[in-house]
Amino acid sequence: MLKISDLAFSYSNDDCKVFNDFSLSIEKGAVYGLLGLNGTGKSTLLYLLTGLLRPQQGSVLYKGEDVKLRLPSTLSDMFIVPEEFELPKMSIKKYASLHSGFYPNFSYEQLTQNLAMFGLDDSVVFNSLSMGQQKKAFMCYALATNTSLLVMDEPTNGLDIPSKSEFRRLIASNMTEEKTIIISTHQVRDIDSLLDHIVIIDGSQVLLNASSDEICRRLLFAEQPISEPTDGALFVQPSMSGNSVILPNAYDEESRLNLELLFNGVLAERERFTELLK
Amino acid sequence: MNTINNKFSFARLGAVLKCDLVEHRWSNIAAFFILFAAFLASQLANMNSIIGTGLRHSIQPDQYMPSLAANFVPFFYGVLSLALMCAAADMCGVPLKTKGRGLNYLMMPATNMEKFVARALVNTILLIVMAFAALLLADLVRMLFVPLFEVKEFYGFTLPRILAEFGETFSSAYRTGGEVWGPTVDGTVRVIGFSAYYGAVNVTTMVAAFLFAHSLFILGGCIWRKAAIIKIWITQIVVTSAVVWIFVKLEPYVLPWLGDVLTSLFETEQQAGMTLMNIAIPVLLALTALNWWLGYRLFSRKQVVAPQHHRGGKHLHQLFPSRK
Repeated sequence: MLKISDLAFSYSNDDCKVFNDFSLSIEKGAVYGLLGLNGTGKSTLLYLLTGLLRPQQGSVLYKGEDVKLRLPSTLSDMFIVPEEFELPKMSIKKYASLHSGFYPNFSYEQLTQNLAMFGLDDSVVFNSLSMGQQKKAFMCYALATNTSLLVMDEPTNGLDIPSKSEFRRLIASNMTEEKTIIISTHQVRDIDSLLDHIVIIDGSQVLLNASSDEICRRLLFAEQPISEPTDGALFVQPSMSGNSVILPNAYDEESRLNLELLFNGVLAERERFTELLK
Repeated sequence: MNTINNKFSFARLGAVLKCDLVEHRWSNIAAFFILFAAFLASQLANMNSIIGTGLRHSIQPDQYMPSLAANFVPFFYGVLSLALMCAAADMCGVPLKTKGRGLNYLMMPATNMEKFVARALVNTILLIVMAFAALLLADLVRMLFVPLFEVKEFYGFTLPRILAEFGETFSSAYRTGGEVWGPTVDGTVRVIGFSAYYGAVNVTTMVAAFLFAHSLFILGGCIWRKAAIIKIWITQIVVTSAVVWIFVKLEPYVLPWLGDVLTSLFETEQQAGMTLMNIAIPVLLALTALNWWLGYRLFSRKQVVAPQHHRGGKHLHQLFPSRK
């Protein structure tokens, strides 16, 4: 669906490239979690794959079309909810009436349903809402466009605690096999139950690119008392109850994916995890 | 709306135009009122001045309104030209001023050409329509002030006279034409007649020069997102100064040579001037087209965040990117 090949990009003239020889493929019908440290280029990658930035080398193809051309057929099939945005001073209803024509699968019914989940209605004016409320309204609109690709940058930033669970419910209820959602975030606990696929990046490298099922099949996430030995663990992190460990899943045991632990583990033991999840 | 078609679509252009107009309605309304205020202030000052002059020099009251229109014409076209230049410099400024705004604009599912044409229409045709509407409103409001001046002859619209004056300038230029200078029996060089051809060349050169100047602002507006008008003016001053400096330095060598060449080719200076203008017209029009094309190239390559190597005037990279 989305193919990034040999991508190179930098913001400045010097050799400090955000991406260099970076390649990644995104398949349809999954919720992708894009994780990485600050400054590793997560937002830049989202801009590059929606055509908002132009790579200096390489290409980003969406359904075979180069996204940097910003063709209507491509743009009408993708939507981005950035971390910070600026919406015009008008009601959601008016905004939808102006812009929905650009999206062939837009559903007004879906928009009102989505807004209702957050206790909003379409008559409210964007600018009269708080930043968090605006984000909710914009996400509702984004999901109602029913584009095949939806990209979200830090969607849970600025949302209150009940809204975070509503957000998860919203994504789950709007997800179909034809859609792909890419969520870039630091707040992994807010979305870990949503993700079908995890991508951890570090500059030019993809440190991890695997489905949640695959990760859980290969790795075992466990909490151990401090007295229990951690020999054979791939990664150990002290926790309130003792140690959080990642072990090789030798006996096909079931465990809940601990995204935070996995992220720290992958960063600390790159080669081991890369080898194991190859 | 057909969003699958990637070729130019008038339906999509209409939708982009509608979004542009609705989302930036407050800027457009502000521009309208600035034009209105300028026109009204000028007309009121003109009325006051005409009455003063009339009293001193016995201008007949029936000449008040023609005088008002005649005085106002250069101001109107001056303000309109300035507004057109400022608006042209705002090609990217309005939709890409902030990252958030630019993001929405760049992600709008329309071709770059549709977005560019929509911006160009707003910044040219809409502005001209707005200027005439502002003038009409200024006329109406001015008439409310007429009782203060106690001159009933000031009741009337200047708009038709301004349009007539504009038409007259062009038609007279083509009809009666420009002055033809030539040697007379007493040996002096004077006006010996009028030529419609000369008039047409003069007017066309002026129009071509205006279009070229406007296209420079379009180009500048596509290069710079912020404070484009100031940057364009500074660039123009720098370039003009450089050209003048070069000309002054070369003048002792070039002018005598050029004079010899022109004298050998043409009988009169006017013929030489006409020929140069005939050359200048297609050159200016070609450069105008080039500026619009370069402007479109830059516009279609705008990014949500301008990388450093695209800033500081290093825009050739955007125009001719490497095809690695």
